[in-house]
Amino acid sequence: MTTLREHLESYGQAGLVRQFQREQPRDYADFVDVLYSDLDELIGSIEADAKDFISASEDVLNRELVRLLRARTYVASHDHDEGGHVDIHVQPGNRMFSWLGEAKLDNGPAYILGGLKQLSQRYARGTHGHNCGGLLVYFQKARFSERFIDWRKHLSSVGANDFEGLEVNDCARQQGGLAFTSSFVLDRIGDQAPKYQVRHMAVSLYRVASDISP
Amino acid sequence: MNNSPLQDSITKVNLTFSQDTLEVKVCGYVFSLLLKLGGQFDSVSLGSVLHALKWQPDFTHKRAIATALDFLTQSDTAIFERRYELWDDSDEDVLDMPICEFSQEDIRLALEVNELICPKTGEIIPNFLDRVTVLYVVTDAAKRSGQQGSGS
Repeated sequence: MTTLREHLESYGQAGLVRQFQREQPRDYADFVDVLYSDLDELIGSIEADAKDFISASEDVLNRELVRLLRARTYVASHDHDEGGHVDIHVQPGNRMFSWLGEAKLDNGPAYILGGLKQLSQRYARGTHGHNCGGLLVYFQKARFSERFIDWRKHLSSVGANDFEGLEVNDCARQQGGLAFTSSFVLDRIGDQAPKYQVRHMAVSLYRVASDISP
Repeated sequence: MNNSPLQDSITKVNLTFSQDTLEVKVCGYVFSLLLKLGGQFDSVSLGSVLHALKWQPDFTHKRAIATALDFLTQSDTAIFERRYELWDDSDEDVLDMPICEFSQEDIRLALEVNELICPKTGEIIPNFLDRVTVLYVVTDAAKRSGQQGSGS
């Protein structure tokens, strides 16, 4: 028989609680909290294997992220039909909530903006338990942090035209500017409900040739 | 998907984990037990899998076992259901049932406040970390699919 203490040793206490959050989160914030911790770690895993993804398509990268999320026991799918085919659809084990992710290769701010519009206008439900989403930007070129800031500046300056009540803020969880948040009113919901929250995340896949082994 | 839990799980494991990983070895061990024992396969624990695979009891191996067993508890076609149980540890009267079963939320709350309350009696369970056992119990559907898979 394995005692709870011995079981804990396989996770660490924080790790076991995180597993509980993935399977049966107490509320939506509980689910989103652990999902963002996991996404930060999994993005790190993908970045560590950047040499395998430096020329990968959006689909290949999304499928890899979904695979890693499933390994952590999320109910995750790629190209899920949610009023159209959203790139990444994630639920906890009990399927009580959902989070949608749209992903774009860095082909400039206007292209990335298209992804955010897809997420908000086509896929996002915005109702309680389905009120958060993400925009992942895959960078396969050098100096990604500057290009990510360019995206943030572009959203802040032109986004107000397309996103009612737009607010853009630093991400408290992720220091150093590799993530930020935006919130805005979803047209289908209206402004008497909480705004839709989007976490913008940078994924750096660039490696110079000398870093790639033959 | 109309496949059995066993077939579905094999497919999901192959799609999710790389073939050379520790998690795949754990899942392979579980699947082989299901096929061999079918309806007689009752449960495993982290410790029993570690012992059966003869792995070092280090964090890497234990974590891999936990990851694999948790993976096999998810979804409608789960192989396992995870249970947190308290058994009578007195020497009198052997019981064939735990005296108390806890939900995941009971355990989560206990870890947060460092105190576990028995949901039946309302009593505090002293030394709960060393008295509550964690078991991965094979689901009925998985047992049937193991029997079908083995042709028995």
